[in-house]
Amino acid sequence: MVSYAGQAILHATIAALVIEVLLRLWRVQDPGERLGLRWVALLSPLVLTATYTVLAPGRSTEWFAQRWAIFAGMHWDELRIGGLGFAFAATVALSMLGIALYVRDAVPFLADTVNRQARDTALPITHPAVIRARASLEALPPAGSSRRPAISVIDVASPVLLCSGIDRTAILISTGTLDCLDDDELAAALAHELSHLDVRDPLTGWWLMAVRTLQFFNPVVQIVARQAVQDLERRADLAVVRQGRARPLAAAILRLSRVPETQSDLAPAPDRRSLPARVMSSAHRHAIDDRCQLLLEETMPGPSPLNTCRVALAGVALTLLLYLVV
Amino acid sequence: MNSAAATPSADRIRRAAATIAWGLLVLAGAVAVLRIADVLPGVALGAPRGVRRFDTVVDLERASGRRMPVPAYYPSSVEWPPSEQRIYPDGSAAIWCRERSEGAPWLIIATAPARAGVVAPQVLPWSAELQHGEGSLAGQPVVLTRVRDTDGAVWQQLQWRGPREIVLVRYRGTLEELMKIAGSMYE
Repeated sequence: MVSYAGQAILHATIAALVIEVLLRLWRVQDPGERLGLRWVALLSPLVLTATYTVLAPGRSTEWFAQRWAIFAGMHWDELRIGGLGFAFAATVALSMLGIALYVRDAVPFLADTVNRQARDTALPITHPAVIRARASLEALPPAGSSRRPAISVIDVASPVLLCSGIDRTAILISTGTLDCLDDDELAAALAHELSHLDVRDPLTGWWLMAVRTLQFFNPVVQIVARQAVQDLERRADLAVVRQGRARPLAAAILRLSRVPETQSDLAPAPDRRSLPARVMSSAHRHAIDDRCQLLLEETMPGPSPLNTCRVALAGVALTLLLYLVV
Repeated sequence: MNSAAATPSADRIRRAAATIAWGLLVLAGAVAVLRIADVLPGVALGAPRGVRRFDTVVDLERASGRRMPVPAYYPSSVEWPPSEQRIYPDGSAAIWCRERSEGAPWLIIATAPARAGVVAPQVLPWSAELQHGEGSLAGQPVVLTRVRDTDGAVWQQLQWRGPREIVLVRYRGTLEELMKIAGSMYE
């Protein structure tokens, strides 16, 4: 079990690094294309490691490690740390880190889903806040071919702005958000959520969570999944930029990011309770600044005609490479 | 085909070629980095790639699935238990015994399964062959070799092939003592 976990973490690390280098060398800017390559990195440890373990059990022998492997993790067990092999100790430590990263995101996500369904009641459609939100949504140009989502306004002081649903789509917004944003910012924020729904990002989000759950011990998968979420956000941002709403969206992101207890994919809430939380908060701050900077630059990277070719090439390369990493 | 249509096509081919070239370069770089990472533990421990080391002879025997031959005649100047136990993936196994006062490796006993053909050099200290001859010991054909190690010390070595395994004894002392040690392993 530890051996399998170790190999999955090793495969994930190699896949993530290879993809990261390729993203830079190929200068992939289009978030959809970046997402495709991130999926290769995410699925490699899930699909390839399991497939090789089942279909090629001979890879785990010392003979294979010596004769064919270009890297054998078992050789690192020759180095001892406190009586434990280095590879074993590293696998245990990294698995604990992976579980911590998974729990950190999964528990609040599940608790919030359950609590919101039990607690929050939507305001009636005659409420001024609902009228304002609906009017803002109706004024937006239709996004793609998807139906207009339902919009629910909840009477909560903290800012909430989320989209959900795959076929029956919905946007959830709080009075706290409506109080924070002016009309232009609200329209941009709703356009951002609409573009998520248009490309079925909630479904992608569930797939990402499924991969994270299946690799709950793998810290690299947890990190790459977060990068994939950033690509989803960038893709939705670009859809808003195409509508000429880059500045109000940047303003909305900045406003929401400054309010404690914000619940929105637009801007994670600042958290300053502990040192790790402050470090994460600082990282969020940088991420938000970079995101706003990109919005204000209004650069519009388009998909490359080589997109499919690149994803296929990366997939084939990793399939061959990881077979020889045991 | 006109030139206006050819230019975008040529540009696309050039970009595709660059994509593949960068991809292959990254793949080659990844292979190189992994190969280096693979040899690092061996370099740190001073053992060749693929060699596993054990704390005791019992652990070595359990891993190799064979009992290590122990001579009935054992020079008093050589320490027991061995200071190092090594095994290689082809089944070759060796124990290294040190000299009591100098602490340097002095006696090496190694075995390999008959199918391996030879005792893998990875389980032995590096050496250069000086002299090679054939003879017999207790009616059994043996190969006698003189080798020199990295320190310049000369070792005597005897190797013979049994029905199930190959046995090698390398000794840093005299040939007479080596013959006594090897002879006592037959008895």
